[in-house]
Order: sequence, then C-alpha cells, then structure tokens
Amino acid sequence: MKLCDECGINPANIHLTQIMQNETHISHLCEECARKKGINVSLNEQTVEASPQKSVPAVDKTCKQCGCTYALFRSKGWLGCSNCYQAFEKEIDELLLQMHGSLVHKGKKYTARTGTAPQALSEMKRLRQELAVAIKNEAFEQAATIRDAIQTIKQMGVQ
Amino acid sequence: MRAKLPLPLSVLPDDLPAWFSHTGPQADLVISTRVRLARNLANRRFTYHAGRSERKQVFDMVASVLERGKEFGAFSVINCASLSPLDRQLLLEERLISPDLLNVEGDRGVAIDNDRHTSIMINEEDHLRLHSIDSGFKAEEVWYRINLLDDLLGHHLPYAYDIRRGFLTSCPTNSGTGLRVSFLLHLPGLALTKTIDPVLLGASQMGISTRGFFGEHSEVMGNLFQLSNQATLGAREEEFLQHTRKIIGEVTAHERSARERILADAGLELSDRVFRAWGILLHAKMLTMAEFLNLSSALRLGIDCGIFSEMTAVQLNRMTLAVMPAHLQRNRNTTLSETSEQCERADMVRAFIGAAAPKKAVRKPRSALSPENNNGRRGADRS
Ligand SMILES: [Zn+2]
Ligand SMILES: [Zn+2]
Repeated sequence: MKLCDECGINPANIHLTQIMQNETHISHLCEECARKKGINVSLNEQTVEASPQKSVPAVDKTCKQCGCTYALFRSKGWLGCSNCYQAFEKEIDELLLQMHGSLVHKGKKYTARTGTAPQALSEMKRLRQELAVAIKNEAFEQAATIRDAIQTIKQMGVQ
Repeated sequence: MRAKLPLPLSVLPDDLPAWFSHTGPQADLVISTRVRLARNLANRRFTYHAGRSERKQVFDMVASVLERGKEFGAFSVINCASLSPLDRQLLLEERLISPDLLNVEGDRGVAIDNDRHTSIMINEEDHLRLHSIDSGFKAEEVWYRINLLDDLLGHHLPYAYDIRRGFLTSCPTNSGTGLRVSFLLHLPGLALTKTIDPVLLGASQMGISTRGFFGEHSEVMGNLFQLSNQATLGAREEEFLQHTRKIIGEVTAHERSARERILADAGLELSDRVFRAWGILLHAKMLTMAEFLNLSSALRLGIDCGIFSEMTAVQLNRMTLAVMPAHLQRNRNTTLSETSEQCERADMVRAFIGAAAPKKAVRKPRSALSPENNNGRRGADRS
C-alpha cells in the first residue's frame, strides 16, 4: 500500500502528473488531499492532469542572501537560507499558519554565544510597527497574533 | 573517554541496536521511540542550496566540534562519501541515517555516539538532524538525552534561530521546535480487525501522521507504522511530546483491545495464521523482504499473545535485521542479484530457526551461519 504524499495517512489512489517547466512531477495523493488541492476527482479516474497552479505570486520574489526565488522554493520545497524567511515573509507566514496553526515559537529559547539581543530589539521594533498598522486597518485577528509574538519576546527580557 | 566504534562498518558490533533490543516498556507494541531535532547553522545556505565547498565547511565545523569537545563523549564522525553503497545501506537499516543520505553529493554523513542511542546527521535536509532512539515507549528519556545534546551543541555552533519562528529549517514544516517524536508501532491487531484506517485517520485528525518503517514515502510492510507529530511550531517541546504520547497511548489501547477480541473470538484462526506463517518461513526457498516482514508480523503477534514459543521476540528481531538486504550481503560478503538475495534470505531464516529451536532437527543449509557460532561479531562470518 502506498500512502498519500500529502497526509501520509490514507492510501494514495490518485496519481497526479504535473508538468512544470518541462519537468514531470508525479505525486501520489489520497482523494481528500487531492480535493484540498483543488483537483477534480471522480471516483473511477486514476490519473488526473493538472496545470501548474496558484500560490506562486505574479511577480516572483528573490532572497538577496542566497538567490533562492519563491517559485523555486515552491517547486522544490526547500528554502535557500534562513534569510528566506524574511524575504518571503508573507507567503511563509501563510504556510506556517496552514501547517502548524500558529506563527509563534513557544519552544526552547536560544542565544548563540554572539548573543541575539540586537536581533530581538529590531524584531520588537518591527512587530510594534506591524501592530500599529494592523490596528489601524482593524485587522484584529492579525493584531492578536502580533501581540502574542511581542509577549514572547518580552518574556525573554527584551523591552 | 570511551572507545570509538570500530570502523569500517563491516564490523559494526553484532548486538542489536538499542531501538531493536526489545527491552523498553511496551516493546511488544511500541518497537521504538525516536526524537529528532532539526537545526541549521546561522548565515549559511541550507544543505540543498549549498555547493560542495559550503557543505564541506559545515561538515568540518560539526566534526571538529564533536571531536574536540570532551563533553560530547565518543562520537564517530562518518562521511558517507567515503563509504561504499553497501555500508551506507547498512547504516540505513540500522536506522542511523535516512534514505536521503544514500545519495552522496559532497560531504554528508552521520556522527554516531558510541552507545548508538544518539546520532547526528550532517548535511541532510537540514545541516543537523539530532536523533535519539531507544526501545519501547519512552518519550521522556529519549527527549531528555537529545535535549541535552542540543544544548551542548548549540553552545559550540551558532544555530539559525529567529525569535518569532524559533529554529529555522530548510522546510517550513519543521520550523519552530524542529522536533519530531516518532514511534514505530506494530499494529497487526488493528490490521486483522480492519480497524487500522479509522484509527489512523482519527490520529491524523489529532495532528499525528503515519509513515512506513523507513520514514517518509516508504511503504507500510509487516504492519509496522511510524507515527509522529505533524506540527512543530506553536507549543513547547514538552507539549508536543505529551500530546503525541497521549494519542499513541490511545492507538496502542485500540491495538490491545483488538488483540483481545481476536483471541476471544477467533483464537483458532489466529493460531492457524501464526503457524502457517511459521510453516512458510521454515520451508520457503525464496523470500522477498516484504513477504518476510509480513510473515514475521504474524510470528511477532503469536509471541506477544503467548500462542507461539518457538522463538523469542529478541531472536525474531535479530533475524529481522540479519535478513535486511545490506546485512544479508555483508554476511555473505558479496553482491547479490535479486533472485539470489531472496534465496539467501530464505537460507538465513532457516539457519536462525535452526539455531532458535535446535530440538526440532531442522537441517542447516551448508553455507548458513547461526547467530551462535559467529562469536558475537558479524565480521567473523566471512568464509
Ligand atoms: Zn492524503
Ligand atoms: Zn535565502
């Protein structure tokens, strides 16, 4: 039994052939995950053709640090470097929320020997600005998330 | 300082790896517990985007920290590029590396602690994949060990870390804690009662994903399932562990009640199935790995339910490891074609059975080696 690539739970009975930039990519999915990806599944259909789709922004973004583009990340699945998290921030935050249902790290705190205080300070400043914008735009859900993040940083003793 | 692992790997110690030793709590259902932490070094390209020289830098940096730091004990650092494909496959079968590390491109490898409980893959999907593994249902101890190693290592190596998203990983699915706790479960009861799908689906709705024996994309064989947490961001490590443990506890409870139901309602059919599997293993001339695992699953269930006593679980584990493709080839010291591999596997199984139950007068095949007469070292097997 081959399991679904996406959820790893259900048997994969949809074998999807995608052709992207001359590269053929075959994924094995269960019906549920195939539907979630917006692929029309009828029960007796085994192979579904799909055209390259969505989620790649109209104008591609590039990480200045490593040269990885957002499109490359989406097609291969791996980011180029830690700076990619900033370069594709909006898109990645969306992904993180989908995958983990959260945007805020609550696990181990880490300080390299070089110290992370300057990073924490600039992050705090950035988050405060974002919070102001979110409140102004009445995006209260987003504001709550940002407030959580600020709280996390405060717990580390950064003001 | 403890002694280092003997190298080359062809003389890896013969004792079962800790995860397969059948010594931990509930080892009849939970074969092993593994905790992994994904880490990357700051200001460097992640492995899949790094060139050869960048990979080498990372590899050397990690190796030198492990080799210099006394607090790390005795790690042997192995560069997969310097190993034969067979030795790499051996490490995979011992669950010391992932299938990804079979592909060598630049310096990639694994640092293995002397006791084989902990290992660190270097330049896998992430620069560092810290693993700790043990027999049975043992999340706390395994986590404690890897958490400590992570603290030590993070002190010597600058990790890529962001205050909001935690540890930054090559794939955002691992961001945050980078923690994945996975349990290797043997679930024949759920499979026989055809309740495995709803149980695993239920677990998936609680954020637990299922994979095969050798991890991602590997197929499920022998009713062996790896269950692990899906999310890694948004809670503390202990919370992820506790949640996963709770769900696994529910899955094992379902498995136990399925076994009880089978014993009560279909004891004879179960016994028939177990002894048929035994019969095939006794007499087969050719065995694929998948067939072996499916048959041995029946034996394992028979042992656990107390209806089969020709072998112990430890002997079964020993046999299982010995018939894996690379272990088989090492013991025969030759590359095997697909057909001869299947023949050798059947021979090896009969040899083990002969050794496990000497009274039964099973003839040993000429070339086969029983675990008794190899002096505890596999390297001595060569003839
Ligand atoms: Zn699926
Ligand atoms: Zn980048």
